[in-house]
Amino acid sequence: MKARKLGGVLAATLTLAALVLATGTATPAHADTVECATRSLKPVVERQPVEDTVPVIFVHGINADATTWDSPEGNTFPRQMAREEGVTAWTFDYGFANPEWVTDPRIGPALGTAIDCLAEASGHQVVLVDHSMGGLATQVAVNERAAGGGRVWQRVAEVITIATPYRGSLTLSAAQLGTHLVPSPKARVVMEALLGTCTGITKVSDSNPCDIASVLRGPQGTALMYDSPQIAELPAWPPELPVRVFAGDIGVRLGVWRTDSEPVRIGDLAVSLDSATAHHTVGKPRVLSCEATLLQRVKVGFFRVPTPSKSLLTSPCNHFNIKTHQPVINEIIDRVAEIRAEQQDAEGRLGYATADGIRVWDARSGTSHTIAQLPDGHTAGALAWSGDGSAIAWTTRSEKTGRTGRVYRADAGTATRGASVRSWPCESCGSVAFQGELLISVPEDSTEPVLRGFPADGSPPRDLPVTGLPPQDPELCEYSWCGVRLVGGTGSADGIMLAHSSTGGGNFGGADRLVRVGDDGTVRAAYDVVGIYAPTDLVFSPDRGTAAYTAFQHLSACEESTSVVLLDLATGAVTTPELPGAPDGTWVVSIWFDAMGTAFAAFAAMPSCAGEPAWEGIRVFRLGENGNWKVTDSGPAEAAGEPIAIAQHAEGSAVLSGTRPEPFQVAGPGTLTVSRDGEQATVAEGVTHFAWSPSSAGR
Amino acid sequence: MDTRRTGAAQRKASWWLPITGVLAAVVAAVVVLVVLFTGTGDDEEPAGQIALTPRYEPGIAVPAAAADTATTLVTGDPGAQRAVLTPELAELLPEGRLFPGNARLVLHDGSWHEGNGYANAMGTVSVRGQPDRTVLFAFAQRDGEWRITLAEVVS
Repeated sequence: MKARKLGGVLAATLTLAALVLATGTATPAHADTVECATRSLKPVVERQPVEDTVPVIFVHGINADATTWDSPEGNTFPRQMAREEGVTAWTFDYGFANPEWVTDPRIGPALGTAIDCLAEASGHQVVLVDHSMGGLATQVAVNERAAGGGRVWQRVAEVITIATPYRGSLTLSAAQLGTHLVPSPKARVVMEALLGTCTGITKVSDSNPCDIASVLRGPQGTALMYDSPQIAELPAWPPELPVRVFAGDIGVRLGVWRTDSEPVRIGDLAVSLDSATAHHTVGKPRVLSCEATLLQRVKVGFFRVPTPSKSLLTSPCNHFNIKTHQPVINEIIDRVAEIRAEQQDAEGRLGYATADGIRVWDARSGTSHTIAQLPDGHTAGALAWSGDGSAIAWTTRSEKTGRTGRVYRADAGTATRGASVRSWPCESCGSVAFQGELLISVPEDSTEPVLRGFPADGSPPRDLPVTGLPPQDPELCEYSWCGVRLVGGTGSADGIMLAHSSTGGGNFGGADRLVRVGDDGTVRAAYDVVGIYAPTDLVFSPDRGTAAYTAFQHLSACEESTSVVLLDLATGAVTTPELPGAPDGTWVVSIWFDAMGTAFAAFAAMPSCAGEPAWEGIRVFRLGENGNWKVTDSGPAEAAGEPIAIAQHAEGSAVLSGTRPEPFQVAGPGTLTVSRDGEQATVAEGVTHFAWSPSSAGR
Repeated sequence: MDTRRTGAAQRKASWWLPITGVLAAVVAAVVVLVVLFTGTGDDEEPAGQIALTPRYEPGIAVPAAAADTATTLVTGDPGAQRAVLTPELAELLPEGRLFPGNARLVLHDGSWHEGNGYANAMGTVSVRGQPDRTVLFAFAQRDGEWRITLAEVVS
């Protein structure tokens, strides 16, 4: 009987914990540029605070070093970037590792470590600005494992490449394999001349154009041949990672062939346009087009020696110059400012519900604004943010009947802009989640499982049958719960998560499996589920690759426990890290991820059959690299009353505290307190639900 | 001619800059073949002069076949001059003599460098009444014969 009671009590706790939906960022430790600096990674400005900045790393190309960015003279690109508010600029220099290929531990993998460190120290995702082969070094780096779990690309806001040979260099191929690879007859003539000229060159130096002859034989020169196996063997770009591309394309008019009406397009001389734009995920490639002419001549005695126009060597579109061409610099700096603003906009908002209405507290201003009032006699029944933080949704529940009345959706709005609210009746809807732009709920009284979609334009809801579920067992389902329950969503089109029971949920209403459903209603994946209750407190990592929930296990009165279950949505792998205290005396209060994808949980220590609690009250733990919970320095905010739900974020810790007549029984609305920068503030009294907006780190 | 750039950044320039320089210089050199001797040039002064000044390993004697090719380019009749170019280059150049009729060539001993089907050699081109000029000839092997890909005045 105690088990049953505790189960119910715990279910209430879990329900409250389920409200802690948002991902957040742990407040990073104070750090300056020394924190991550290495032989390779150097700050553009020494001793600059890193915390709460967007780090921008400049990565050079083949056979170069960080000084390749030292232009324009006196006002270099990295220094211009470093002057941006909220940004720290860094150079990654692997010149000492030349001429090794980007897979060398000192190049791609080391860059991955640098990204990881800067993301951790800053609390923000990193931007990479890559020239040429630096983009391929980044391709390796972002696929490295991150120290805190996941992959490095999850710590990256955007990759900006300039003249990166995604498919290699046709110029290099032609030099090594034959000029027949060069499609343009005129360019082929140029290449033939180049190869003949450079044969037998002796001294290799920066000032010698035939330096190419030695580099060609090195690992970088070989690997950078067009469509080389070395490039093919690089780990694939993560499709979720934003990659923005800049490329140069020079049209050369070959002087004596002045009768030609069209210039010969030669890319940036070193990298053809198709290669420089072969991969991108953000918008269209930004192609700088230039023209060069080789008609200028100078008298040398009898000979009228034509010389290349300076316009070719100084062309802003050529491979060397494009990366520090001021218009390109301006565009990239503007983009970084946008990224910084996007990260700020998406963070630091705390949605909460009181008896009066739905409100959003903004961490930057420290103020709240009202999204909507609740109808009389109703309370909020659920609260969810859309994946991009642009919208918030909730249900209302009748205080009299306890049943859901309507489903609401609103733009998150701002204090000055307000919010537009739409609502639909849905008497049996439980939780809510977003499937892209579409708000989803699942009627729990439907004979067949359906997703009910509520369009953003306010048009009538539409039902989409869920297909691909195992059939229900009629005998087992006669007396116990069978069906589907919405337990959350990643925010993406195929991220709706349902708990499903086809064999009866047992005494506790547990689920047989978790399923992930696509926007066509089909089951995309099914996962093992842990615990004797259907999970109701699902949270997702920022990259939406991992889900976590609280599982309750019951064997006997003295063998009850909760644990945090981590579910890899790609592989279906399930892990349940060992609790930080005695299993029957340690209870999960809340779970969340920070912006870097690290799992956090608040645990309460309680008296148990084994004895006294291991600690007093509630402590916050971080999941370490070794898979064990490690207590963090930053505890929950000191609030009046006992914390009953906690969630942390880059902007602070939010704690809902109230009165609990007995352990794990949520007595009702509590006080929402936020601790930020060492200061505490009461956000509101009478709060029933709260959730941080999704971190911009999330994709 | 000097491809060196000033300033710390330029001294440490990307490896691609040399490619740019080579391509630019070579394109220019290819153009030499025509502009030098077709007499179509004007007197426009460039903003700057750029040239290729590579330093070569010690070479060997120019093979007889290659010497014949270079000599024909400099001293042959217009048809013969064109015949010693690579077909692609010949096709792109306008009609007419490539070197003046009274030009003479002396190839430099030990200036031959060869590898992977490409080669080069230096020679002195003399035209009566004009200073001697050192010219770099670049070759590509085609069907077992050496064909000209470039002729550039280097000094």
